[in-house]
Amino acid sequence: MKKQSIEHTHLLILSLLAGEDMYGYQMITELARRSQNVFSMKEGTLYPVLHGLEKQGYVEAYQQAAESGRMRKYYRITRSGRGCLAEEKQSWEVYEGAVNAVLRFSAGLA
Amino acid sequence: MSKMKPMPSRRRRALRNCLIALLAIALYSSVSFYALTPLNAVEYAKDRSGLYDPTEVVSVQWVPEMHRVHRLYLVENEHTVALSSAILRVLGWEGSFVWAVDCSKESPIHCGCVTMSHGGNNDGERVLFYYGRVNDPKIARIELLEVHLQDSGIPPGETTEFENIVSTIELPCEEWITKNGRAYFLEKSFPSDDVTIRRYVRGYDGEGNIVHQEYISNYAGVSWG
Amino acid sequence: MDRREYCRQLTQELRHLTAKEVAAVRQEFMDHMEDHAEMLREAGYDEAEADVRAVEAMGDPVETGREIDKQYPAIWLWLSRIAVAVIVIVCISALFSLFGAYTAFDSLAIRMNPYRNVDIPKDSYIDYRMEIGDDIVHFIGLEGYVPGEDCEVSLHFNMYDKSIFGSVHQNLETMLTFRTDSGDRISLSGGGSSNEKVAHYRKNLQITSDDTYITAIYDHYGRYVACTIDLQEVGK
Repeated sequence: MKKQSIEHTHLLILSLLAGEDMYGYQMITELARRSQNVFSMKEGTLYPVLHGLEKQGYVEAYQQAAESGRMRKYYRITRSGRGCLAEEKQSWEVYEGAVNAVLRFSAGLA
Repeated sequence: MSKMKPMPSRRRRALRNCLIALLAIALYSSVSFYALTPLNAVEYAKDRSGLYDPTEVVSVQWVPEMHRVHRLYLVENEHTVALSSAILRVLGWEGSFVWAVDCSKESPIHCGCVTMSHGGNNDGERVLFYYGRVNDPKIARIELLEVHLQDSGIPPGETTEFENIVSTIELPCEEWITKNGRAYFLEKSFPSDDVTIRRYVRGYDGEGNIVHQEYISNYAGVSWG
Repeated sequence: MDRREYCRQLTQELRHLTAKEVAAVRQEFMDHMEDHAEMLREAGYDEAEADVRAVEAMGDPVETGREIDKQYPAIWLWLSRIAVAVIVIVCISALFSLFGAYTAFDSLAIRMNPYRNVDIPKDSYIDYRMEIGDDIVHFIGLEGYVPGEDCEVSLHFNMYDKSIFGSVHQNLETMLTFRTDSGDRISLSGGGSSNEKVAHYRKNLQITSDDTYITAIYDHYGRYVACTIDLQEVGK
């Protein structure tokens, strides 16, 4: 179900950034940690999503110095990104609710 | 953690550049002699030629004999019929002068003509445009005459029977152009070099009688260097 | 596969990105793999092992490269390039159009100081304006007027468009006629100069001892404008 995982990746990334600005690798580790390793994606697939979000104006990038002195590229959610997040969250909740309802119904039959 | 300026995405940079480009074009056209479109060039020409009221286009054509990209406009309003040229130069469209006939004074036919040539070269091609408005509803056909007046004593305005008609162009009413309820005509011809040629316009009614004859005094010559 | 090889295979798929953008993507991926390798080293892996695992965790570089390439549609790049080309062309053309700006300045200056092009005595100053369409005829002086005598006067006037960016009718002065108490007056002589936006002319007229005014008339193309100059006002 590769396609689906990419779709929901938008939602997951935006919700990560809604909390704080992060850099690429940080997002991977945070995602794994918060989902108890259910979401451990191939790390390369993160960046097409990030660049796509940037293209649409939902996130923006900036450079900042890390502790080691190296410059790191951080991502920050924008106002329209927050709007998109709210919408995506709502459609996910509708979807989740529908799935649960069908399962409960089937469970009732069994 | 200090907020640093974001790195602009492609889209943002493109939109910003487009905005700057549009501003640059707007600023440039306000001071430039050249226009972005041929009709704009005609509007500038009207400003230079003292045609203050808005006009509508009656007819448009290419005049390749003079310049490769040369647009000729016949424009009109209630009090004017006029001809203007727009030539495409490197920096934009250049409007020539506007050659106008004042239609506010009553007359059965208002007519003017403009000769165009390439400057300095007598062998060069010359093009002549007759243009005007037919006001008298009785007139069914007009004729544009080139007359060689042997007798130089006859003043140009005098109505005479012509003995030395060099050429005649007939324009029946089917070839006129109607605009805003008025009838206009525009005719291109290739004139001779003869300086003793005089040009007249004649109006005939449906039975072939001459209703009006007039010496075309509204004459202009333009040559492009 | 080492980091460099991963990046090479990835950047090969970035066909629609500019060189600058490719370099930025490359840097981003190298940084990411470095971050991951650093984390593994801290966890106890040796350098070589950490590098290998970091690269493996990235997945297929070709697929990733293609997906990133899709995020860079050509349209924005072309729009940006076209816009920049337009700006450059306009700037170059503007250098050739300084003439237009110069005459606009001229048009502004003539409004602030109408007498900048002429040298006439102050007692011949007048100030009358005619608005003809979007052009303005500004009568500024009447030289040679002697009250109570037949004389030849020189009527000085400036002409310009209402807007400093607009052009003035180049032949406007030929379309004015003049009238005094005694009737229509034909200008015998005169002179002047004009550029695209500003013109200055003087017209010489014969007037008689009984004349009290000169009226300038424009009557063409269905438009009639008249302006009467009171001869008693001259020099006041």
